[in-house]
Amino acid sequence: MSADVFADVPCVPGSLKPDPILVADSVRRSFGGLVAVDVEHVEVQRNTITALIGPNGAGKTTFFNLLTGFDEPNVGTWTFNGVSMNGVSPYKAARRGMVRTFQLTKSLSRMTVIENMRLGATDQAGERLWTAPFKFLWRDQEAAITERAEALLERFKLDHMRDEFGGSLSGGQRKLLEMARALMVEPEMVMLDEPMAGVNPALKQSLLEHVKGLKDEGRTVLFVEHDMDMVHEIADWVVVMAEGQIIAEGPPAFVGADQAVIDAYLGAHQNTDLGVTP
Amino acid sequence: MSQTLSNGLFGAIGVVAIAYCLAAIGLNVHFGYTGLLNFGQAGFALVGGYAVAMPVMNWQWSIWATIPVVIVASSVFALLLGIPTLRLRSDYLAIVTIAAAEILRLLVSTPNLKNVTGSTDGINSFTNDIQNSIPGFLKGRTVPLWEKNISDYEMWVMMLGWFLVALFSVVVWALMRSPWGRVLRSIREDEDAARSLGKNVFAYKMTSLVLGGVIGGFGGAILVIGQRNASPGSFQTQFTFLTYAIVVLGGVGKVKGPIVGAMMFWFLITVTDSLLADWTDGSGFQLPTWIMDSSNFSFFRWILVGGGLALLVIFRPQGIFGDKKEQAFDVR
Amino acid sequence: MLAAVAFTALFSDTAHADEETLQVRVQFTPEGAKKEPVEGVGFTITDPSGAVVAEGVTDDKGVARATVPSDGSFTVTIDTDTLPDGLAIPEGQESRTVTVTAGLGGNANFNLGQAPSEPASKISLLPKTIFNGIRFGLVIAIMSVGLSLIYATTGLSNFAHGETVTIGAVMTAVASGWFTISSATGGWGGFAQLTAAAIIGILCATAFSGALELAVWRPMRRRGIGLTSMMIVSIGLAMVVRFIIQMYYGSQPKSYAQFSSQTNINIGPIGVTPRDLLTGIIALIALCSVAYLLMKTRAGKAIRAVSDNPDLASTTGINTERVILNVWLLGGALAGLGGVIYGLDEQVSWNMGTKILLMMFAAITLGGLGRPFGALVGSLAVGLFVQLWAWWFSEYTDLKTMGALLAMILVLLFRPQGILGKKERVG
Repeated sequence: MSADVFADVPCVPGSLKPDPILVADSVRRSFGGLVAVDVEHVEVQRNTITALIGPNGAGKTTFFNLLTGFDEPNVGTWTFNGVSMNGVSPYKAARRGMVRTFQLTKSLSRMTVIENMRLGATDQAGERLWTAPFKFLWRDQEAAITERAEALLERFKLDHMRDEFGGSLSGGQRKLLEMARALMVEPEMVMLDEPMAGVNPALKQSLLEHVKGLKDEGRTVLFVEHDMDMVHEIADWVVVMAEGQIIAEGPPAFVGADQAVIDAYLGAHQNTDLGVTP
Repeated sequence: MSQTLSNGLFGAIGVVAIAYCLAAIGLNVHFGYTGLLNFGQAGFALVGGYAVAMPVMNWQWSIWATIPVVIVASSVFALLLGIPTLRLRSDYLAIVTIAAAEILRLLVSTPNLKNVTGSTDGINSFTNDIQNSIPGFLKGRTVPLWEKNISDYEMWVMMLGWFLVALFSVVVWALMRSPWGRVLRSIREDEDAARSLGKNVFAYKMTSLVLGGVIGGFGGAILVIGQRNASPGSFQTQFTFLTYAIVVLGGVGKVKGPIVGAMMFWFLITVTDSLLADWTDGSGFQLPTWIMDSSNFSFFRWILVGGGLALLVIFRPQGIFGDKKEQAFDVR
Repeated sequence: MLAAVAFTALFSDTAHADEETLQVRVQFTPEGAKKEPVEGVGFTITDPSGAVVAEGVTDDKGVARATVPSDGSFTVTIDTDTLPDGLAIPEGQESRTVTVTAGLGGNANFNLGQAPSEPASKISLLPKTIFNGIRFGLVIAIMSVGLSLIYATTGLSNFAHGETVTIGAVMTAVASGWFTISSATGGWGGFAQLTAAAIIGILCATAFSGALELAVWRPMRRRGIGLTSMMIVSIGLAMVVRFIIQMYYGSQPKSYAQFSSQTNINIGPIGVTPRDLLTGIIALIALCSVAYLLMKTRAGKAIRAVSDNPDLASTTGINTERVILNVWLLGGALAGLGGVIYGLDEQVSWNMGTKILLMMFAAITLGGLGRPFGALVGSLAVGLFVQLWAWWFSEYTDLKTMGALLAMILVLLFRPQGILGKKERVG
């Protein structure tokens, strides 16, 4: 199905998509003299899984930070669902439906798994100062949120950890918790920063299934990843960054064979397995 | 010995303990629940204390009318501190708050403002309204506490103070069990995570700073009313550090922490002072004078406080009664 | 009225034979010294009708004897124009009415005071103010370089750094007492004694700083205890040390045993004591040495590498722990030196380090947290600001440190990363 969406999309950097959810234009961010991100134009197609790959230091995470408001670009504009996101603070970006995870997981160590999950729910009456002290004002909503959280925990096979502290989870479990928690926000677009990093191989397959599941629910996924196997297995479209710029775009098979991509990787570190034999 | 213990008991429930307990409740909101490094709780207490004393002295207000002044002044102070710092790394807040508290102390100490603030002597005779409000059953009596007699005024201020402690403890308890408190705790754990989940971290931090600041302001108010004097000497940087010691002693991020902490702290301090005074007064058991004598034993309490604070943080960050399973209070 | 004058005139004529002596004495009492006679002060004596009956000038004993035509009451008026420079007679006391008794004469004594010094124009004080500001800034800088380097390499805001300063000064003061037992304290002998005492003080501060790293901070880092905890531990330790010093050193500020007051030497428009000039130069040399160390030597480059990125530095084979120990030792020595100098500027007191600690924090925050050269810039800014405040708001000099703290907060409001700090978004 997804292949059809991209049927008429040319495999060139900055290519136009039929129904983009995210559009970025000339986004530039430099630290001192070093240009970390310099993206001319990029579009992310709605309800697909798009991978953002590139060698270390290509600016992928910085680009993520810019899009989600955690960092500010020197210049550039980008829109989400057609609405400008310039200068929008991270929490507002999240409320508009763009929720991210982090490369180094941020599970809240001294809060239980279920508290982590409940935190993700938006528009909670109990989160307002004047209603918070009066439990009867938020008890019902809290119960509904808990129900939803428990369902998600079950889906992500974390239900047995419900009352454990976040700090006691394994690395892979934290990744799962973070993804599940992000879903509590009910985002349109989920942005995963290296979801496979530090995850043991046994958990990898289930993580992949969860990511695919997000698309089946109608969400858009943009993820940063080094693991090319994962990219090949689940990505519909791949965007390649190197030295802050987008150097190639296309379906996984195309990108794996693209000379610019191979050069970028080989130039950076020669042992990277691109997952294809050129 | 029973004299010493009754002194200690009074120390544990007396006006000073109450004032520090309130300051600690506020600091616990900041530091314990939100992870804000407020090193200027002395400043909030000073604001509260002078918000009571100054309108009464300068404009002959009723002392009861100064209650909203305490709230507004502490809130404004919190806003002034929060706006430049709450977007910055946490150590900036620490340095700015400690500096702001010091600014206020210098400002009320300066002789140039003597007719408004009383300079280093401070403000006296603003407590007539409290004196006149002593209820009939208390008026003119002294309440015996073991071997110690408590005057009617002191007893009345203690009653008002413990009422405030109870009130704010209930407020904090009700807030911290709610989803609002959950957001605060998530900010303490990792504020970027809270942001990524759509929480307006800045607003929550600011609310926390204001709430804890106002409670600390009432701590200062009770202190100056209890001492019948508002002077800068009561609000030195030491005040903040003692408050930290109390919060850590009682247990960081627990509703009962500040109460347990303040009572234990002032019991220990009073008993130590009392014993050391006894051991250096020239009769009975005496400490060797090269260790300490009657002229310098009173500094020893601060050595005890400092050493205790350091050892607690290293070896029992969960507080004296805390559960070993609970981790250190910062897991960064 | 006319009749009265005529009447007096009549009698004064008859009393001509009864001339009396009126002795006028003019004196000046310098602060804390004996009265001194004032020579050459002119005066006039008038009778009640206002007619001048005698004039005179005081001699080298400050005394003049004048002859008045009769007994009775006369008014002696000092001619203020004849007063020597720097002396003045208190307002309203220029003239005095004395009673001259027949056969005994009369006395009129005048006590002069210090003339209120001509208020020097503000602008003429500016060069001196700037000099003082820079000098104070240099002293803060040597103290705070350590604080800044410790922050950069370990992330710790070390509240015990003020006590390192105090230890440097207090141990110098204590040692300076040992050396005075046998010999005189003035001149070059005193200078040598104080130098020896200062070395002891600086060594003590260095040892204290290094010992804390080995006994407290390194074990805490190994146990993975967080920075906030460590910061609070440093506050606790600072209290312990500070009050131990108060218990055994005492609450009274003291000067070094060799301390003596010096007169200013003038360098252009700036009057400065040789001591202030020398300590200023020492501070400057110390700072230049640190800059050289950081920029040019292996050990210094290692320190900078660890400051920039501890993890990266350790992967490139730098012994991070060793570097951090070096930083604590270096920071301790500099803080000790700063304490010695600050103890000369002010006095040596048990809480001097605590008092200056906030200035140090203001300096490194202003300069940009964790930037060693930022500490220098921030320190100069704080030093200048404090002195300029005292200069401009001369009525409010007690608030000069408040001014510096206020400036720090304002700078943070508009330039959160400090003057030299890297711009980084933190929230």
